[in-house]
Amino acid sequence: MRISLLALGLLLSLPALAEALDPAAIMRAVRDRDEGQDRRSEVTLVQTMADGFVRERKLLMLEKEYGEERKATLYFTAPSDTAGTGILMHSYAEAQAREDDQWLYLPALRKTRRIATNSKEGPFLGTDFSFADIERMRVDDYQYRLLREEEYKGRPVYVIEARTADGLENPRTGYSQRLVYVDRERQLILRDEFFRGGRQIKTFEVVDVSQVEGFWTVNESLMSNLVEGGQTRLLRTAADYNLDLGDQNFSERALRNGIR
Amino acid sequence: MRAPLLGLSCALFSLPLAAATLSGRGHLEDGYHHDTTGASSSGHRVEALLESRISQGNWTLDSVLLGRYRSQYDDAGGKLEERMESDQDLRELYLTWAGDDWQWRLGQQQIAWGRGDYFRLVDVLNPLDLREFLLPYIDDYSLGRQTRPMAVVEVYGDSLEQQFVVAPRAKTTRYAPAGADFAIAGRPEGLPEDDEHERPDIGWRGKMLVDGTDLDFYLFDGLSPDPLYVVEEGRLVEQQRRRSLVGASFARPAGDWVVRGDLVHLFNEPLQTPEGADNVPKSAALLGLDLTRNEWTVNLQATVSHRHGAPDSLSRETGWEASAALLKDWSKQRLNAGVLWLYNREVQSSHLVKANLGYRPWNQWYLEAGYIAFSGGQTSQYGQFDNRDRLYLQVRRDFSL
Repeated sequence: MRISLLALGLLLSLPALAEALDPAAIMRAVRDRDEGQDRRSEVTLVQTMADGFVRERKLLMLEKEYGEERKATLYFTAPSDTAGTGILMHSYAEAQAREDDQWLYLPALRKTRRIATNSKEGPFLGTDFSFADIERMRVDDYQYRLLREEEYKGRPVYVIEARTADGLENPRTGYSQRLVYVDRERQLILRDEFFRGGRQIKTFEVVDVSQVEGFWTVNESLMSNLVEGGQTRLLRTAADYNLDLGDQNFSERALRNGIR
Repeated sequence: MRAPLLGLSCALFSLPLAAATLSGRGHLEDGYHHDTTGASSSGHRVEALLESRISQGNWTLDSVLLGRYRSQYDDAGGKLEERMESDQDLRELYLTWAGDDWQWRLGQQQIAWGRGDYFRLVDVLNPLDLREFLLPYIDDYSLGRQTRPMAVVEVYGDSLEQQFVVAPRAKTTRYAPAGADFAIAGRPEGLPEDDEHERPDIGWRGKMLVDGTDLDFYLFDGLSPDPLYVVEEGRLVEQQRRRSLVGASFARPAGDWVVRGDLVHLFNEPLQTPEGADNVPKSAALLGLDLTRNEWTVNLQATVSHRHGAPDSLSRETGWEASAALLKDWSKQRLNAGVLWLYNREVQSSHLVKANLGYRPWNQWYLEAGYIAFSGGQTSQYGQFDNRDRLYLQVRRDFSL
């Protein structure tokens, strides 16, 4: 009888265990990680090209959750030839299967332009990050397989393989495969290897993480370009959460007026 | 201009400056063009721009200072030298108060309406400065528009954003004087003006997002920036006439492309005719397509305009314009090459082609070399400058304060 109860207990616990280790569920947990109702970040992008040329860009970033939707405003403050440029992004719930809406404000034109978001494999302002890399993760872009659990840089991680259903490039992101290292406790991606046609093309690594106002915050990350060489370092020099940001910060007028 | 400047200066100094933030940036640019036809002289063109912004709470004060020098017109003498050799301009100076649901802007400024590039169907609030045929600003109209004093109120609703504009002082398009490279042949100069502008220009824009499509609607009543030449009491005078328009714009993504367009109907567009001047209704439409992918940018546009009931003396009622621009970036946007083609057909076809190569050797430095060519009939938009083809080389240094 004792054996039967033990077996029953095991049977009952199996679905929960399977759920916990469902790699798609892990990725959904990463996507839906609590990052506050809204946040303001000061970001510096330091791009080092293969020939040693270094370019630095600074921007303010505001983000706000609207249920499963998210709005973000990026406003460049330096250098002077980029300052005043703004990007507004509306991301919709993944279940809606709707592409983001994006607008770009160019101060030289005094105009806001609509941007097509169907393809996001292109570089984000010439850096090694693509638009797909900075958008909100879409779990359904890939099928997942949990490869192993291990320690990575002193943190317990799930190592998850992500592949497109047909094995070909995802036309939106330009990646056919990824190898993702997810912090088991913090639901943070600590490392992401990007593949196209079986060849690794980029590597994303988190360099520094800390807790800010109770939220795990990536302070420094690095995207290395393995094809062209060079890398882009993303430094979050300031982060504030739950500021009760007004909706006017996520509109075209915020691009035109600038944000502070 | 002095009164608004004084008012804005008072407003500026009434701000608690201790808590204000100041930001500024600008550029210095030196360009050299070589006339390839031998019909004109070559020369340097130096430009200095300084933009500043002072912000405190809900208040912002913006200003733009621009200075230009063209060595080609050194010692040209008379009005040519006076109008073309150098100029310094406080182009923009306006105060903004921004609240949650509305904001206002007051001062010397510019407003860009419409979704079109190069072709200004509804971009009617600021006349152009055509002294250099917009060549230095063909990709950056903000320095090609003439700014003017305006009061602008914007009201933000849940689904509709409205903009109300009042502009009390009219300006005309600024043309190159006789003898300049881009002077229009036969255009009368120095005529007396026959204008009584008792009403300011007024405009309204409504803006909304409907199911992923940006929609804008426009109403405008004001003076046409292009003067007409009419004979009054036996003498030729320059006359600015009123015009009214209703317009709409849209933009929406379609796959990898963005589709956009402008549509406008002008109820009484002033028109120069062989007999003098007339006012006739006119409609125009623009359709544009943009693609940005893998460091390629493609921009295609076509417009058609039609005058309803134009006088028989005008040989053509329908005009066409088109543009195609192709830009390719390399080396993480340090190197780029572009080709731009502009086409116009009224009575005759004419073309402008610009090809350029740009490079950023160091941060904040930009070098560009290019070639600009015109072709077409002698009375056509671009063909009249058929002997103004040029090679150019320019260096630019951006800076911030």
